[in-house]
Amino acid sequence: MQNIGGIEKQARPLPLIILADTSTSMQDHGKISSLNQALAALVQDLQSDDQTKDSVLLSLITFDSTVKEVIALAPIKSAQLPKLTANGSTCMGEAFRVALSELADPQRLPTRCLLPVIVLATDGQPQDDWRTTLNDLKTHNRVGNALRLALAIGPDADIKMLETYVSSEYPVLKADEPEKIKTFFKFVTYASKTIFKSGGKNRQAQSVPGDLLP
Amino acid sequence: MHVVRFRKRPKVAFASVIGPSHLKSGLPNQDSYACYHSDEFLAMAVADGLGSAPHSEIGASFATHLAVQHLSAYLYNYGKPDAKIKDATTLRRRILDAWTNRFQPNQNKYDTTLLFVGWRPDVCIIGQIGDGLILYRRIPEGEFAAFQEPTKQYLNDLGCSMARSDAIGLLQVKEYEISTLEDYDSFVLMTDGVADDLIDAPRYSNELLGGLCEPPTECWNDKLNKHLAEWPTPGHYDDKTLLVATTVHQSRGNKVADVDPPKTGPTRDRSNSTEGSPSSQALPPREDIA
Repeated sequence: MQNIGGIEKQARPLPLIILADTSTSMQDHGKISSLNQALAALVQDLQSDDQTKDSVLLSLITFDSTVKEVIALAPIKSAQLPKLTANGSTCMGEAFRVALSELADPQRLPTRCLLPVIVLATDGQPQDDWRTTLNDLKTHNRVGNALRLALAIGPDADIKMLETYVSSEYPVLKADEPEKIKTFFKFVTYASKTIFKSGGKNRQAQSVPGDLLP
Repeated sequence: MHVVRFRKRPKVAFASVIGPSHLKSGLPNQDSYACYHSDEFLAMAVADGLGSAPHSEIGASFATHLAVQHLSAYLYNYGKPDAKIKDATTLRRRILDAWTNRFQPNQNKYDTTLLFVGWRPDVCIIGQIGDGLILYRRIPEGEFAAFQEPTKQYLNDLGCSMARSDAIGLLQVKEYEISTLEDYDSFVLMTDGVADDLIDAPRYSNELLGGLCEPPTECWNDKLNKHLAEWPTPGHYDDKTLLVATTVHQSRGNKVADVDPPKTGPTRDRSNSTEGSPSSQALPPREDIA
Protein backbone atom coordinates (compact mmCIF):
# COMPACT_ATOMS: atom_id res chain seq x y z
CA MET A 1 0.00 0.00 0.00
CA GLN A 2 3.02 2.26 -0.35
CA ASN A 3 3.24 4.87 -3.09
CA ILE A 4 -0.43 5.15 -3.86
CA GLY A 5 -0.79 7.92 -6.42
CA GLY A 6 -3.01 10.96 -6.40
CA ILE A 7 -2.01 12.17 -2.93
CA GLU A 8 -0.58 15.65 -2.41
CA LYS A 9 3.02 15.65 -1.20
CA GLN A 10 3.11 19.33 -0.20
CA ALA A 11 1.62 20.84 2.94
CA ARG A 12 -1.33 23.17 2.48
CA PRO A 13 -0.19 26.75 1.98
CA LEU A 14 -1.20 29.58 4.32
CA PRO A 15 -1.70 32.93 2.55
CA LEU A 16 -0.52 35.85 4.69
CA ILE A 17 -1.49 39.25 3.30
CA ILE A 18 -0.11 42.40 4.91
CA LEU A 19 -1.71 45.76 4.11
CA ALA A 20 0.76 48.41 5.29
CA ASP A 21 0.03 52.13 5.57
CA THR A 22 2.87 54.12 3.96
CA SER A 23 1.18 57.52 4.05
CA THR A 24 3.14 60.67 4.96
CA SER A 25 2.22 60.53 8.66
CA MET A 26 4.10 57.23 8.98
CA GLN A 27 7.33 59.23 8.68
CA ASP A 28 6.73 60.69 12.16
CA HIS A 29 8.25 59.32 15.37
CA GLY A 30 10.07 56.46 13.65
CA LYS A 31 6.88 54.58 12.72
CA ILE A 32 7.98 53.57 9.21
CA SER A 33 11.37 52.50 10.56
CA SER A 34 9.72 50.29 13.16
CA LEU A 35 7.42 48.88 10.51
CA ASN A 36 10.38 47.97 8.30
CA GLN A 37 12.14 46.26 11.21
CA ALA A 38 8.98 44.42 12.21
CA LEU A 39 8.36 43.11 8.70
CA ALA A 40 11.98 42.03 8.35
CA ALA A 41 11.74 40.08 11.61
CA LEU A 42 8.47 38.43 10.52
CA VAL A 43 9.92 37.32 7.20
CA GLN A 44 13.11 36.06 8.78
CA ASP A 45 11.22 34.12 11.46
CA LEU A 46 8.91 32.40 8.99
CA GLN A 47 11.76 31.71 6.57
CA SER A 48 13.83 30.06 9.26
CA ASP A 49 11.03 27.70 10.37
CA ASP A 50 11.33 24.42 8.47
CA GLN A 51 7.58 23.96 8.36
CA THR A 52 6.50 27.44 7.34
CA LYS A 53 9.30 28.40 4.97
CA ASP A 54 7.85 26.28 2.16
CA SER A 55 4.20 26.78 2.92
CA VAL A 56 3.46 30.41 3.79
CA LEU A 57 2.55 32.59 0.80
CA LEU A 58 3.31 36.23 1.54
CA SER A 59 1.76 39.27 -0.04
CA LEU A 60 2.81 42.77 1.00
CA ILE A 61 0.57 45.57 -0.24
CA THR A 62 1.41 49.16 0.67
CA PHE A 63 -1.03 52.01 0.40
CA ASP A 64 -0.51 55.73 0.33
CA SER A 65 -1.65 57.84 -2.64
CA THR A 66 -1.29 54.71 -4.71
CA VAL A 67 -1.42 51.02 -3.92
CA LYS A 68 1.56 48.81 -4.68
CA GLU A 69 1.92 45.03 -4.57
CA VAL A 70 5.43 45.13 -3.14
CA ILE A 71 5.47 41.35 -2.79
CA ALA A 72 2.79 39.76 -4.94
CA LEU A 73 1.72 36.56 -3.20
CA ALA A 74 4.85 34.47 -3.35
CA PRO A 75 6.35 31.69 -1.21
CA ILE A 76 7.94 33.33 1.79
CA LYS A 77 11.21 31.47 1.35
CA SER A 78 11.90 33.57 -1.73
CA ALA A 79 10.51 36.86 -0.38
CA GLN A 80 12.86 39.81 -0.58
CA LEU A 81 11.69 42.74 1.46
CA PRO A 82 12.45 46.24 0.22
CA LYS A 83 12.79 49.17 2.61
CA LEU A 84 9.45 50.94 2.72
CA THR A 85 9.20 54.73 2.61
CA ALA A 86 6.27 56.91 3.56
CA ASN A 87 4.72 59.58 1.37
CA GLY A 88 1.18 60.41 0.30
CA SER A 89 -2.44 60.04 1.39
CA THR A 90 -4.26 56.92 2.62
CA CYS A 91 -5.95 54.91 -0.13
CA MET A 92 -7.01 52.05 2.13
CA GLY A 93 -10.14 51.22 0.14
CA GLU A 94 -8.07 50.57 -2.96
CA ALA A 95 -5.76 48.35 -0.90
CA PHE A 96 -8.77 46.21 0.04
CA ARG A 97 -9.67 45.90 -3.63
CA VAL A 98 -6.16 44.83 -4.60
CA ALA A 99 -6.02 42.29 -1.76
CA LEU A 100 -9.34 40.83 -2.84
CA SER A 101 -8.22 40.56 -6.46
CA GLU A 102 -5.23 38.51 -5.31
CA LEU A 103 -7.17 36.22 -3.03
CA ALA A 104 -10.22 35.67 -5.20
CA ASP A 105 -8.20 34.48 -8.18
CA PRO A 106 -8.01 30.66 -8.16
CA GLN A 107 -5.03 30.84 -10.53
CA ARG A 108 -3.03 32.75 -7.94
CA LEU A 109 -4.41 31.03 -4.90
CA PRO A 110 -5.41 27.38 -5.28
CA THR A 111 -8.37 25.87 -3.45
CA ARG A 112 -6.07 23.77 -1.36
CA CYS A 113 -4.85 26.82 0.59
CA LEU A 114 -5.88 27.37 4.16
CA LEU A 115 -8.09 30.37 4.87
CA PRO A 116 -5.96 33.50 4.55
CA VAL A 117 -4.72 35.81 7.29
CA ILE A 118 -5.09 39.48 6.31
CA VAL A 119 -3.22 42.00 8.45
CA LEU A 120 -3.93 45.74 8.30
CA ALA A 121 -1.55 48.23 9.95
CA THR A 122 -2.46 51.92 9.75
CA ASP A 123 -1.97 55.16 11.65
CA GLY A 124 -4.70 57.24 10.07
CA GLN A 125 -8.06 57.37 8.42
CA PRO A 126 -8.88 56.12 4.95
CA GLN A 127 -9.23 58.89 2.40
CA ASP A 128 -10.99 56.98 -0.34
CA ASP A 129 -14.14 54.93 -0.60
CA TRP A 130 -13.34 52.04 1.73
CA ARG A 131 -16.81 50.87 2.74
CA THR A 132 -17.68 49.21 -0.56
CA THR A 133 -14.36 47.43 -1.03
CA LEU A 134 -14.21 46.35 2.61
CA ASN A 135 -17.70 44.94 2.35
CA ASP A 136 -16.67 43.07 -0.80
CA LEU A 137 -13.69 41.61 1.07
CA LYS A 138 -15.77 40.55 4.07
CA THR A 139 -18.60 39.01 2.10
CA HIS A 140 -16.68 37.32 -0.69
CA ASN A 141 -17.62 33.66 -0.85
CA ARG A 142 -13.98 32.67 -1.13
CA VAL A 143 -12.25 34.89 1.43
CA GLY A 144 -15.07 36.23 3.56
CA ASN A 145 -14.04 33.95 6.42
CA ALA A 146 -10.40 35.00 6.40
CA LEU A 147 -8.81 35.95 9.72
CA ARG A 148 -8.53 39.75 9.67
CA LEU A 149 -6.15 41.39 12.15
CA ALA A 150 -5.73 45.13 12.60
CA LEU A 151 -3.15 47.35 14.25
CA ALA A 152 -4.01 50.97 15.07
CA ILE A 153 -0.74 52.90 15.15
CA GLY A 154 -0.74 56.05 17.24
CA PRO A 155 -3.63 58.24 18.40
CA ASP A 156 -4.99 59.23 14.98
CA ALA A 157 -5.95 55.79 13.69
CA ASP A 158 -9.67 55.35 13.03
CA ILE A 159 -10.57 52.74 15.63
CA LYS A 160 -14.23 52.59 14.68
CA MET A 161 -13.37 51.91 11.09
CA LEU A 162 -10.87 49.21 12.12
CA GLU A 163 -13.51 47.58 14.29
CA THR A 164 -15.64 47.07 11.19
CA TYR A 165 -12.61 45.49 9.51
CA VAL A 166 -11.44 42.87 12.04
CA SER A 167 -12.91 39.40 12.23
CA SER A 168 -14.31 38.14 15.51
CA GLU A 169 -11.28 36.30 16.88
CA TYR A 170 -9.26 39.31 18.06
CA PRO A 171 -10.01 42.98 18.82
CA VAL A 172 -8.32 45.92 17.15
CA LEU A 173 -4.83 46.07 18.63
CA LYS A 174 -3.10 49.34 19.44
CA ALA A 175 0.50 50.47 19.17
CA ASP A 176 0.71 53.73 21.09
CA GLU A 177 4.45 53.84 20.51
CA PRO A 178 6.43 52.73 17.42
CA GLU A 179 8.25 49.91 19.24
CA LYS A 180 4.95 48.13 19.72
CA ILE A 181 4.65 47.71 15.94
CA LYS A 182 7.36 45.08 16.30
CA THR A 183 5.42 43.43 19.15
CA PHE A 184 2.35 43.26 16.94
CA PHE A 185 4.11 41.62 14.04
CA LYS A 186 5.73 39.15 16.39
CA PHE A 187 2.21 38.27 17.47
CA VAL A 188 1.21 37.94 13.78
CA THR A 189 4.13 35.55 13.27
CA TYR A 190 3.12 33.32 16.18
CA ALA A 191 -0.56 33.41 15.23
CA SER A 192 0.29 32.45 11.65
CA LYS A 193 2.44 29.54 12.81
CA THR A 194 -0.32 28.34 15.12
CA ILE A 195 -2.87 28.50 12.36
CA PHE A 196 -0.60 26.74 9.90
CA LYS A 197 0.40 23.94 12.27
CA SER A 198 -3.22 23.28 13.20
CA GLY A 199 -4.29 23.09 9.59
CA GLY A 200 -6.25 26.29 9.91
CA LYS A 201 -8.32 25.20 12.89
CA ASN A 202 -6.73 27.20 15.72
CA ARG A 203 -7.54 30.76 14.74
CA GLN A 204 -7.81 32.03 18.26
CA ALA A 205 -5.17 30.06 20.07
CA GLN A 206 -2.58 32.78 20.33
CA SER A 207 -2.90 35.07 23.35
CA VAL A 208 -2.54 38.77 22.60
CA PRO A 209 0.35 40.64 24.26
CA GLY A 210 -1.18 42.78 26.98
CA ASP A 211 0.48 46.00 25.86
CA LEU A 212 -1.31 45.82 22.51
CA LEU A 213 -4.78 45.57 23.97
CA PRO A 214 -6.94 48.71 23.82
CA MET B 1 -41.32 -12.89 -2.90
CA HIS B 2 -38.29 -12.73 -5.20
CA VAL B 3 -35.15 -11.83 -3.29
CA VAL B 4 -32.45 -10.07 -5.27
CA ARG B 5 -28.94 -11.04 -4.25
CA PHE B 6 -25.52 -9.80 -5.31
CA ARG B 7 -24.07 -11.85 -8.12
CA LYS B 8 -20.63 -11.02 -6.71
CA ARG B 9 -20.86 -10.15 -3.07
CA PRO B 10 -18.98 -6.93 -2.27
CA LYS B 11 -16.12 -7.02 0.17
CA VAL B 12 -16.03 -4.12 2.64
CA ALA B 13 -13.11 -2.59 4.47
CA PHE B 14 -12.89 0.46 6.71
CA ALA B 15 -10.42 2.40 8.79
CA SER B 16 -10.39 5.57 10.86
CA VAL B 17 -7.32 7.26 12.28
CA ILE B 18 -7.21 10.20 14.69
CA GLY B 19 -5.49 13.27 13.29
CA PRO B 20 -2.21 14.61 14.69
CA SER B 21 -3.84 17.86 15.81
CA HIS B 22 -6.42 16.00 17.90
CA LEU B 23 -3.77 13.73 19.35
CA LYS B 24 -1.85 16.81 20.42
CA SER B 25 -4.85 18.62 21.88
CA GLY B 26 -6.39 15.56 23.53
CA LEU B 27 -9.56 15.70 21.47
CA PRO B 28 -11.20 12.47 20.32
CA ASN B 29 -11.44 11.27 16.74
CA GLN B 30 -14.42 13.21 15.44
CA ASP B 31 -14.94 10.97 12.41
CA SER B 32 -17.30 8.04 12.48
CA TYR B 33 -18.33 5.18 10.20
CA ALA B 34 -20.99 2.46 10.17
CA CYS B 35 -21.87 -0.39 7.86
CA TYR B 36 -24.47 -3.13 7.44
CA HIS B 37 -23.75 -5.92 5.00
CA SER B 38 -25.80 -8.87 3.81
CA ASP B 39 -26.20 -11.00 0.70
CA GLU B 40 -28.97 -8.70 -0.46
CA PHE B 41 -27.69 -5.20 0.25
CA LEU B 42 -25.01 -3.03 1.71
CA ALA B 43 -25.58 0.17 3.70
CA MET B 44 -22.59 2.28 4.72
CA ALA B 45 -21.90 5.76 6.02
CA VAL B 46 -19.08 8.03 7.14
CA ALA B 47 -19.30 11.34 9.01
CA ASP B 48 -16.94 14.05 10.16
CA GLY B 49 -17.86 16.00 13.28
CA LEU B 50 -17.24 19.72 13.01
CA GLY B 51 -14.22 20.93 14.93
CA SER B 52 -16.19 23.92 16.19
CA ALA B 53 -18.87 21.70 17.77
CA PRO B 54 -17.81 20.49 21.23
CA HIS B 55 -19.63 17.14 21.06
CA SER B 56 -19.38 16.50 17.36
CA GLU B 57 -17.98 12.99 17.79
CA ILE B 58 -21.34 12.04 19.32
CA GLY B 59 -23.23 13.76 16.51
CA ALA B 60 -21.10 12.02 13.88
CA SER B 61 -21.52 8.59 15.48
CA PHE B 62 -25.28 8.98 15.72
CA ALA B 63 -25.51 10.26 12.15
CA THR B 64 -23.72 7.24 10.69
CA HIS B 65 -25.78 4.74 12.67
CA LEU B 66 -28.99 6.55 11.79
CA ALA B 67 -28.11 6.63 8.11
CA VAL B 68 -27.29 2.92 8.03
CA GLN B 69 -30.47 2.02 9.91
CA HIS B 70 -32.72 4.00 7.61
CA LEU B 71 -30.86 2.92 4.49
CA SER B 72 -31.14 -0.70 5.58
CA ALA B 73 -34.86 -0.35 6.16
CA TYR B 74 -35.31 1.30 2.78
CA LEU B 75 -33.29 -1.28 0.90
CA TYR B 76 -34.77 -4.25 2.75
CA ASN B 77 -38.28 -3.11 1.87
CA TYR B 78 -37.49 -1.63 -1.51
CA GLY B 79 -40.39 -1.97 -3.88
CA LYS B 80 -42.74 -3.41 -1.26
CA PRO B 81 -46.15 -1.76 -1.28
CA ASP B 82 -46.25 -1.39 2.52
CA ALA B 83 -42.79 0.15 2.87
CA LYS B 84 -42.81 3.17 5.16
CA ILE B 85 -39.91 4.82 3.34
CA LYS B 86 -41.08 4.83 -0.25
CA ASP B 87 -38.51 7.03 -1.94
CA ALA B 88 -35.22 8.85 -1.56
CA THR B 89 -36.95 12.10 -0.61
CA THR B 90 -38.65 10.46 2.36
CA LEU B 91 -35.39 8.76 3.30
CA ARG B 92 -33.61 12.10 3.35
CA ARG B 93 -36.28 13.68 5.51
CA ARG B 94 -36.34 10.76 7.93
CA ILE B 95 -32.59 10.84 8.48
CA LEU B 96 -32.43 14.59 9.01
CA ASP B 97 -35.49 14.76 11.27
CA ALA B 98 -34.30 11.87 13.45
CA TRP B 99 -30.87 13.43 13.83
CA THR B 100 -32.22 16.90 14.60
CA ASN B 101 -34.82 15.61 17.08
CA ARG B 102 -32.14 13.76 18.96
CA PHE B 103 -30.05 16.85 19.66
CA GLN B 104 -32.29 19.91 19.44
CA PRO B 105 -32.21 22.63 20.60
CA ASN B 106 -28.44 22.16 20.87
CA GLN B 107 -27.79 20.51 17.54
CA ASN B 108 -25.03 23.01 16.77
CA LYS B 109 -22.95 21.41 19.52
CA TYR B 110 -23.17 18.03 17.78
CA ASP B 111 -22.83 19.21 14.20
CA THR B 112 -21.40 16.91 11.57
CA THR B 113 -21.20 16.08 7.90
CA LEU B 114 -22.70 12.83 6.58
CA LEU B 115 -21.97 10.69 3.52
CA PHE B 116 -23.78 7.42 2.79
CA VAL B 117 -24.29 4.75 0.16
CA GLY B 118 -26.96 2.08 -0.06
CA TRP B 119 -26.27 -0.68 -2.59
CA ARG B 120 -28.53 -3.42 -3.84
CA PRO B 121 -28.04 -5.36 -7.05
CA ASP B 122 -30.98 -3.45 -8.58
CA VAL B 123 -30.67 0.01 -7.01
CA CYS B 124 -28.13 2.34 -5.50
CA ILE B 125 -28.73 5.38 -3.25
CA ILE B 126 -26.04 7.95 -2.57
CA GLY B 127 -26.32 10.85 -0.15
CA GLN B 128 -24.02 13.61 1.04
CA ILE B 129 -24.08 16.74 3.13
CA GLY B 130 -20.82 18.54 3.75
CA ASP B 131 -17.20 17.79 3.05
CA GLY B 132 -15.69 14.50 2.06
CA LEU B 133 -15.96 12.44 -1.10
CA ILE B 134 -17.98 9.52 -2.38
CA LEU B 135 -16.46 7.89 -5.44
CA TYR B 136 -18.09 5.17 -7.44
CA ARG B 137 -16.95 3.00 -10.30
CA ARG B 138 -19.30 1.62 -12.91
CA ILE B 139 -18.59 -1.02 -15.44
CA PRO B 140 -18.12 -0.79 -18.36
CA GLU B 141 -16.87 2.81 -17.92
CA GLY B 142 -14.29 1.54 -15.50
CA GLU B 143 -13.12 4.86 -14.00
CA PHE B 144 -13.98 6.29 -10.64
CA ALA B 145 -16.17 9.38 -10.54
CA ALA B 146 -17.14 11.65 -7.65
CA PHE B 147 -20.76 11.85 -6.57
CA GLN B 148 -20.45 15.48 -5.57
CA GLU B 149 -17.51 17.55 -6.73
CA PRO B 150 -15.97 19.59 -3.91
CA THR B 151 -17.35 23.12 -3.87
CA LYS B 152 -15.55 24.73 -1.00
CA GLN B 153 -13.37 27.63 -1.88
CA TYR B 154 -10.73 27.16 0.76
CA LEU B 155 -10.01 24.41 3.16
CA ASN B 156 -11.50 24.78 6.61
CA ASP B 157 -14.17 27.17 5.50
CA LEU B 158 -17.66 26.78 6.87
CA GLY B 159 -19.50 24.31 4.72
CA CYS B 160 -22.73 22.35 4.82
CA SER B 161 -23.63 20.29 7.84
CA MET B 162 -26.51 18.51 9.55
CA ALA B 163 -27.30 21.26 12.08
CA ARG B 164 -27.85 23.98 9.54
CA SER B 165 -31.39 25.27 9.31
CA ASP B 166 -31.33 24.71 5.54
CA ALA B 167 -29.86 21.19 5.79
CA ILE B 168 -32.88 19.62 4.05
CA GLY B 169 -31.93 21.49 0.89
CA LEU B 170 -28.22 20.78 1.29
CA LEU B 171 -28.43 17.02 1.86
CA GLN B 172 -28.16 15.67 -1.68
CA VAL B 173 -29.67 12.19 -2.08
CA LYS B 174 -29.92 10.46 -5.42
CA GLU B 175 -31.22 7.06 -6.39
CA TYR B 176 -30.02 5.12 -9.39
CA GLU B 177 -31.65 2.06 -10.83
CA ILE B 178 -29.08 -0.50 -11.84
CA SER B 179 -29.29 -2.36 -15.10
CA THR B 180 -26.93 -5.17 -15.99
CA LEU B 181 -25.10 -2.83 -18.34
CA GLU B 182 -24.42 -0.19 -15.70
CA ASP B 183 -23.47 -2.31 -12.75
CA TYR B 184 -21.42 -0.68 -10.03
CA ASP B 185 -18.38 -2.57 -8.88
CA SER B 186 -16.86 -0.29 -6.22
CA PHE B 187 -17.53 2.57 -3.84
CA VAL B 188 -15.07 4.59 -1.79
CA LEU B 189 -16.27 6.92 0.97
CA MET B 190 -13.86 9.27 2.70
CA THR B 191 -13.95 12.20 5.10
CA ASP B 192 -12.17 15.41 4.16
CA GLY B 193 -9.06 14.49 6.15
CA VAL B 194 -8.35 12.20 3.18
CA ALA B 195 -10.17 14.05 0.41
CA ASP B 196 -8.51 17.41 0.99
CA ASP B 197 -5.07 15.95 0.35
CA LEU B 198 -5.95 14.30 -2.96
CA ILE B 199 -4.87 15.84 -6.21
CA ASP B 200 -6.44 13.04 -8.25
CA ALA B 201 -9.20 11.27 -6.38
CA PRO B 202 -10.13 8.79 -9.14
CA ARG B 203 -6.52 7.73 -9.57
CA TYR B 204 -6.13 7.44 -5.80
CA SER B 205 -9.23 5.25 -5.55
CA ASN B 206 -8.07 2.98 -8.38
CA GLU B 207 -4.63 2.53 -6.84
CA LEU B 208 -6.09 2.09 -3.37
CA LEU B 209 -8.19 -0.81 -4.61
CA GLY B 210 -5.23 -2.23 -6.42
CA GLY B 211 -3.16 -2.06 -3.27
CA LEU B 212 -5.83 -3.82 -1.23
CA CYS B 213 -6.04 -6.65 -3.73
CA GLU B 214 -2.29 -7.16 -3.98
CA PRO B 215 -0.48 -9.55 -1.68
CA PRO B 216 0.17 -9.78 1.20
CA THR B 217 -3.40 -10.85 1.71
CA GLU B 218 -3.68 -9.59 5.24
CA CYS B 219 -6.90 -8.16 6.51
CA TRP B 220 -7.99 -5.23 4.39
CA ASN B 221 -8.88 -3.23 7.49
CA ASP B 222 -5.32 -3.51 8.74
CA LYS B 223 -3.97 -2.40 5.37
CA LEU B 224 -6.24 0.62 5.34
CA ASN B 225 -5.35 1.53 8.92
CA LYS B 226 -1.65 1.40 8.11
CA HIS B 227 -2.19 3.45 4.97
CA LEU B 228 -3.97 6.21 6.91
CA ALA B 229 -1.54 6.10 9.81
CA GLU B 230 1.36 6.64 7.37
CA TRP B 231 -0.33 9.42 5.41
CA PRO B 232 2.34 11.06 3.23
CA THR B 233 1.20 14.71 3.08
CA PRO B 234 3.44 16.90 5.27
CA GLY B 235 1.67 18.85 7.97
CA HIS B 236 -1.55 16.83 7.70
CA TYR B 237 -3.59 17.29 10.83
CA ASP B 238 -7.14 15.99 10.44
CA ASP B 239 -8.88 12.75 11.38
CA LYS B 240 -9.03 10.38 8.42
CA THR B 241 -11.67 7.82 7.60
CA LEU B 242 -12.00 5.53 4.60
CA LEU B 243 -14.69 3.01 3.73
CA VAL B 244 -14.25 0.79 0.67
CA ALA B 245 -16.75 -1.64 -0.86
CA THR B 246 -15.93 -3.59 -3.99
CA THR B 247 -16.82 -6.69 -5.92
CA VAL B 248 -13.25 -6.82 -7.22
CA HIS B 249 -11.50 -8.98 -4.69
CA GLN B 250 -8.26 -9.96 -6.33
CA SER B 251 -5.40 -8.23 -8.13
CA ARG B 252 -5.60 -7.66 -11.84
CA GLY B 253 -4.27 -10.51 -13.91
CA ASN B 254 -5.85 -13.04 -11.60
CA LYS B 255 -9.27 -14.36 -12.18
CA VAL B 256 -11.73 -12.64 -9.90
CA ALA B 257 -12.78 -15.16 -7.33
CA ASP B 258 -16.36 -16.25 -7.58
CA VAL B 259 -18.24 -15.59 -4.40
CA ASP B 260 -19.86 -18.43 -2.53
CA PRO B 261 -23.25 -19.38 -3.94
CA PRO B 262 -26.02 -17.52 -2.11
CA LYS B 263 -27.34 -19.24 0.96
CA THR B 264 -30.97 -20.20 1.06
CA GLY B 265 -33.03 -17.33 2.44
CA PRO B 266 -31.77 -13.88 3.44
CA THR B 267 -28.72 -13.74 5.68
CA ARG B 268 -27.28 -10.98 7.82
CA ASP B 269 -23.53 -11.25 7.76
CA ARG B 270 -21.84 -9.27 10.51
CA SER B 271 -18.28 -10.49 9.89
CA ASN B 272 -17.07 -7.39 8.10
CA SER B 273 -19.02 -5.01 10.20
CA THR B 274 -17.82 -5.61 13.70
CA GLU B 275 -14.15 -4.80 13.33
CA GLY B 276 -12.75 -1.50 14.36
CA SER B 277 -14.51 1.00 16.57
CA PRO B 278 -17.93 0.53 18.14
CA SER B 279 -19.31 2.90 15.53
CA SER B 280 -18.90 0.18 12.92
CA GLN B 281 -21.17 -2.42 14.49
CA ALA B 282 -23.78 -4.03 12.28
CA LEU B 283 -27.35 -2.85 12.54
CA PRO B 284 -30.21 -5.01 11.33
CA PRO B 285 -33.11 -3.31 9.57
CA ARG B 286 -35.63 -1.94 12.03
CA GLU B 287 -39.19 -2.94 11.45
CA ASP B 288 -40.50 0.32 12.96
CA ILE B 289 -38.56 2.39 10.43
CA ALA B 290 -39.45 0.07 7.54
